[in-house]
Amino acid sequence: MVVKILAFGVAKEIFNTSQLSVDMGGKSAIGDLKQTLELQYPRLASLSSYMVAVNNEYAGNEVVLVGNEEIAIIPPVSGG
Amino acid sequence: MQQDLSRYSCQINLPGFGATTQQLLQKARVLIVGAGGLGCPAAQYIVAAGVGTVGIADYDVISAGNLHRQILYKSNEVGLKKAEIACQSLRQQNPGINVVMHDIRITDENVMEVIRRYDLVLDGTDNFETRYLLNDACVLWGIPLIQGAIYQYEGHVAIWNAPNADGTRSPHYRDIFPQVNAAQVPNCTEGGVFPTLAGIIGSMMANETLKCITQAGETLIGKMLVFDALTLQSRIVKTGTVSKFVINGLAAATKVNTLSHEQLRANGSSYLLVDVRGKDEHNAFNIGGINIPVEHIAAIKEHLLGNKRIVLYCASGRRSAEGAKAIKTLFNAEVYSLEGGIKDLQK
Repeated sequence: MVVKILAFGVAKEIFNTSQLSVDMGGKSAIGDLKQTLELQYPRLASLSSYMVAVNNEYAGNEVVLVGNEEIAIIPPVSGG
Repeated sequence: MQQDLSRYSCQINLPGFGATTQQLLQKARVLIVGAGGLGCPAAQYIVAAGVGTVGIADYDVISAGNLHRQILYKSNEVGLKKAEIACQSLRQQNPGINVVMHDIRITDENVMEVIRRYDLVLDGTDNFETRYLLNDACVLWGIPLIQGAIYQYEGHVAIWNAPNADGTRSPHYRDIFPQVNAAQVPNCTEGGVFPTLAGIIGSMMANETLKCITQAGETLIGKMLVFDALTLQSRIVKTGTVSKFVINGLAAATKVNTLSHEQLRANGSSYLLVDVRGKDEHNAFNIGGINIPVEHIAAIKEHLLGNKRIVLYCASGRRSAEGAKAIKTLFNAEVYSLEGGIKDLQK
């Protein structure tokens, strides 16, 4: 399954784009998506945590995707 | 004493507001941590609206690079304490309220004591360590936390740890971001920040503060707002209704050894200097040594076998402190952060 991702904050720099498509193979859970992304972009894993929002709702690793959702990768920002 | 409410007449005239609502504001005690890009506008609106007690916590001094977004400060105040100047200005803005100055750095040793007398805490700080400290302390005391954060053109606003009707609490920062490797996320000094974004997000923090106190409208409890100043798009992400992340105490901070410029000059040859800024910054100006950007700091490994002690430097001392923490955690090596960075040498 191929899903579309919107990137925020430092994730834009890590992916070098604000929108990308990711092939999750036969998998469909958020945990699998994170694993796929972190393999492709090791710096994402080194953030320690980032939020995955599916249709504007926080999604834990167990959430299963259908494929047409809007998926956002939102790392924390620290500036003030 | 009957308070003169005429200065608040335009908000008292709002539908559903009234003099009793103004009293709620008058009774409220709000602590603003970080009198910077977010804290300045947030404080100005909260003070203007007549919140009875407003605490301002900041240990830093005003620098020239703050002035484009930290709108309580003037050019001739560079070098002065933010807490003092902010409180002075806020007291003039509204002499009818109590402005409390906390001219201190919030640490694991003082955070519990500082925040305990407040009903609401606003986080407008510029680093993850303080953000997590405030979050954890607010959870331990049961105080709601209104958090703003900015980076380049993007801003986040959230209300964490608010009480639910059934006695549970709404999610807090660690429910969504359990921990962060601060060395991987640049802050305003490094990545830059759009000045009006600070005003927008700081004002949103004040907006949510006034709504929380007056119980007006729909607040950001259980939600996080993500705002993009370039497109003016905002999205509200639902973060759940009940916190599941239990906090039992404050995490002890990793201590960073710092080295002054004097110490470095006196004993330069015994240190291996490492510039942890980006390549472009290094090429534009540096004080020698090797260049390993902080996000790749693990590459320091091959230099640890030499007999020199490692000194990290960056522009302000912030990235080098994060890098030093990472090296300590990863390799348990003796490492120093150059205090204050090199920004003053560059001028």
